[in-house]
Amino acid sequence: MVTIHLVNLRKTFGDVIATDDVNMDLEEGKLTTLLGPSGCGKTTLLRLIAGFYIPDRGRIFFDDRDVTEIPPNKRKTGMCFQNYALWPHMTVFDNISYGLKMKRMNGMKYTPAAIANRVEKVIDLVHMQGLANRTPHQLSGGQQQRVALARALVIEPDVLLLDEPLSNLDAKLRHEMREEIMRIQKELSITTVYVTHDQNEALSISDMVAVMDKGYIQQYASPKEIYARPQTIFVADFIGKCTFIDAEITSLGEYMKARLPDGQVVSGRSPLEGYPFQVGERVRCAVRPEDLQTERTDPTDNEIMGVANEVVYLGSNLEIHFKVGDIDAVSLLPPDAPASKGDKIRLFAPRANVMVLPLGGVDALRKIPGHPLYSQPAAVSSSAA
Amino acid sequence: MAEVSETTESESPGTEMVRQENLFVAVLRSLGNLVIGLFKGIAQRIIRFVKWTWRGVVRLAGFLRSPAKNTRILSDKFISGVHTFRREMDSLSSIQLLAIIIVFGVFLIAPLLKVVVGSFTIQEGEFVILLLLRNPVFLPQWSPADFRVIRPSPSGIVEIWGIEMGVILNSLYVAAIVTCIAVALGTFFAYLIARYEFRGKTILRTVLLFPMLSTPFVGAIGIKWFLGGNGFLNNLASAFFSWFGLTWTRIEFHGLAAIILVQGLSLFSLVYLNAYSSFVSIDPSLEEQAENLGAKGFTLFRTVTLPLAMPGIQAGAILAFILSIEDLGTPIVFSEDLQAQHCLAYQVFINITSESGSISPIGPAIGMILLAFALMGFLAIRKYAALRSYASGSKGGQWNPRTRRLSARATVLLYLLVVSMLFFALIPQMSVILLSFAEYRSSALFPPLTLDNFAILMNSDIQGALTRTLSYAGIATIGIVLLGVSAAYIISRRKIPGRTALDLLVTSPIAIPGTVIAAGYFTLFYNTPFFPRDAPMFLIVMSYLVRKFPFTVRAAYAGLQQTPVVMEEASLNVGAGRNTTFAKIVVPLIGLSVLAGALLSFVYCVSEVSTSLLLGGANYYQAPLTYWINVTRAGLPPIYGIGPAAALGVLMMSMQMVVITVTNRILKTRASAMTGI
Ligand SMILES: Nc1ncnc2c1ncn2[C@@H]1O[C@H](COP(=O)(O)OP(=O)(O)OP(=O)(O)O)[C@@H](O)[C@H]1O
Ligand SMILES: [Mg+2]
Repeated sequence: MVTIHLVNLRKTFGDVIATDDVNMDLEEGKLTTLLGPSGCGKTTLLRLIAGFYIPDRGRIFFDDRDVTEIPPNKRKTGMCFQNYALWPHMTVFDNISYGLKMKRMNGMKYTPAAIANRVEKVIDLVHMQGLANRTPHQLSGGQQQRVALARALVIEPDVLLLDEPLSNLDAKLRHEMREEIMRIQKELSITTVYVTHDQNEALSISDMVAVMDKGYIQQYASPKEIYARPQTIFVADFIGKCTFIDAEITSLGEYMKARLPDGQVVSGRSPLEGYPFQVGERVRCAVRPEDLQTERTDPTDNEIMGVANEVVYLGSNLEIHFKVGDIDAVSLLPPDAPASKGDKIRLFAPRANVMVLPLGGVDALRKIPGHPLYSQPAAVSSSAA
Repeated sequence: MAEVSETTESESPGTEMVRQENLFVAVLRSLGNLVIGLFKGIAQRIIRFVKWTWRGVVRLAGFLRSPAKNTRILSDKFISGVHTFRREMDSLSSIQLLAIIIVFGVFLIAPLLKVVVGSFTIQEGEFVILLLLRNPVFLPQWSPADFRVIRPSPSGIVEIWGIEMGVILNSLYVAAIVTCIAVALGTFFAYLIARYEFRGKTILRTVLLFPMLSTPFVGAIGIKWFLGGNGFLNNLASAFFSWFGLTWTRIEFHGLAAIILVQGLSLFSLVYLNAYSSFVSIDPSLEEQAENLGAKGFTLFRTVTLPLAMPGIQAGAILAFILSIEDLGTPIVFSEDLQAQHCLAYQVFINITSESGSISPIGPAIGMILLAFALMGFLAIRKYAALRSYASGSKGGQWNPRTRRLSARATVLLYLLVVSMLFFALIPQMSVILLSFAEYRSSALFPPLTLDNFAILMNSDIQGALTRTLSYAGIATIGIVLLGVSAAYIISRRKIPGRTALDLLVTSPIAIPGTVIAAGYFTLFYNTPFFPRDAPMFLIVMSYLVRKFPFTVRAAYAGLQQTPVVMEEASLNVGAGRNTTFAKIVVPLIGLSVLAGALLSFVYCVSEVSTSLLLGGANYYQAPLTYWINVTRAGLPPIYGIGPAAALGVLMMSMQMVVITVTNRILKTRASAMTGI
């Protein structure tokens, strides 16, 4: 029931920039995932929201309330820690009920019966029936994780912060828990931030995804958008598969033309609106494997010639790894496509599906007017330092 | 243990190879290097400390060069410091911090400053401290008689004395030799226990904790009797020799030689515990890597294991040095020998007690010298002694340390070696126990056993002293726990400016000589409401509180270190305030560690000697047990005397034994905390 505004956040540990230039609005009732490789700053960002770190600069708002300096116990967030943080001197029941015992609403607190009732419900929810009287060290890793999850859920917080809450569960249980989290989250309309490094999980459950790398938000958008219109090379590479080809721009327009090192010219379109491309600029073209076709459907389609060096049969599809010059490329073709190792192959890529991306990662985003990272060139060089 | 690395003779020996030297020579050389390395390391620590101080002076000078700019920078720093302070601290922490600062400020810093200032007062137109340096007793006279170590006495007993070099040098060289003995014994036992598996190891481990029992003071009473010219050991040797028709020349230790012996046998346990903790917390993979590269046996020990354990050994060594130099009990027991009086701690003692009423500045001045040595030692190991040094070592004991199982034959050999060394090391404890049961003035080889000595426990003065001691120690321990847990919590969890200084402040009492603190109390508080003329009670408790503080704060800190911060964060996250979190999460989680620390503080309070003797002198009937042990010892037999004193010592030792066994269980591999660092 709150919208979280993160404005220009930065957190460093000594020389390490854990996260920087974070600008996001997490809308109320929405589930946002933080997605990125290990060490990219996801936990740091989550802990900033929870209030365990004070940012070096920037502010955090819950609705209009500036909470940057508010202590964690006053923020009404429920956090599920990456390493569980269960209290070893308390039973499962005590661990879970602790937050309820602390909770005060208009000077009232829960009765013991109400507490017992709620704890029992949430224990059922995470399938931990009958284990309420155990202590944490008598539980398996997955069970501990579920207690941690239950402890965050039971207090019905305004903001739910989940740091890889399902990483230790088997596939079936993970699926079930994921459904439960989404159900509770939607039912109570809790603004949720969910950390994961599993892209399928991120794409399937989120309203919004924030892809992070090296402390920067690379893109913050809906799952569809992230997949279809990645804004940086990192995002294109991290989400789904892609073939990358370096090129140099020869003409601008909605559809740009770019020359490959071997002289071929491809035409494509940039998912970045408003980026000031220039003729002669070095760019990288990205194509998803499934966007390559065996037939020409339009005269403007790009034609790609290569030599297949590996053919993998996947049942529903045929995955062909081939070489264009010395670039490794991959395509996903229908299972009946005639191709075998060593064959010369000819494929077509509709120009709308060839994504032209600038080099330079997040620094390129700073050149887009209207982008949250947009800044004057002087600021760019200072933040690169 | 030694190794011969088989250098496979390649086809061309070439110039890159030299002959392997004789194994025996190699081992001897490494041993030599070892000793040199140890002292080099200690010297380096001291040099580093001096440089650190110098840098501070230089920075201050730099500051004064452009005061305007620097003041601005400083005030900015100060403001941001205040800001962090306000954010980090809540009401409870602030009160805790304030209480710590007040108690340590009034009962530690102020008295010490008073001592320092006192030693620079002017008397007869001269600094008191310079007057001291003019006194022949304090400086070496270099007369040949001073170097007579072996002195046959008319009664046919050969007496062994120390060299007489004047009070200051005496204290230093005695402490240096004691340190060497402590390092040799301590490292040997630590390595043995840490790295070998053999039958009876648990027993040996427990037995090795015994030297932690009792202060050298109680041990000295026993040793003096045990090793005396007509003591048990000489009687035994004499009987043994005459059995073969030989005559044994009776040997007796006197003066500084006796002090060296007593302290060496008591203080080696400080090195033992610290070295043991270091050995078991060495990451096994470091040694495995070295082994993988071909180092074995002694080479491995010398090149990898020992250097990694060195910080622990050095810290133990310096602590042994400090405790030796400040030890007051032993010189008092041997004070019939004039030479035994010629050490710093004893000089502080007599110069303060002889002048009741007006306090002569001589005592504080000597105390100042003592303090300088002790503080230098402490600051040299400040990194190791700081609470926060354990931050990275929290993994200690998580893995199975490398131990080697010994074959039956090797075990027997080991036993022969260990038992003889252990006999030597346990002389203080054995002798006190034996003395307490021995009949008065019996000259039989095995004196008839009797319980008469324990009649002293019925003495009403002693009973009074006993209850008093327990309550002093109890009250002090309550204060220690309240403040110690607070201090540990603030140092480990609150990122306030000045944390290092606070850390230094609360750990330093381990190195500050009790005699100096007592001297400070006399000069600062005598005849004030804190210290009415005949009521030292309050200050005795406060001196216990301050002096035995490090044990609890250290244990509490260790507990906090083993408790991940996320435990507290999880509690804050669900809405509990900081105080609730402290009470409900922190306290239960570290409770056991705090208990261990509190028990240690308690027994060390009970066996505290120097401030007890000095402050207790102001009124016998408020003096604690250690004071009365000394009175008993000096009294006339058969009601008083050394036998009954030993009986009281046994009482004290049994109490300590219980506590030390319990805390050892709790602290496990971190048993070095028992030494206070
Ligand atoms: N307390 C700290 N002190 C120093 N550096 C830190 C600290 N916490 C995090 N870092 C560094 O900040 C960066 C981001 O860490 P963070 O824990 O946010 O990563 P993460 O995205 O959660 O990774 P993972 O997926 O592995 O949990 C890392 O490079 C990490 O080494
Ligand atoms: Mg993380």
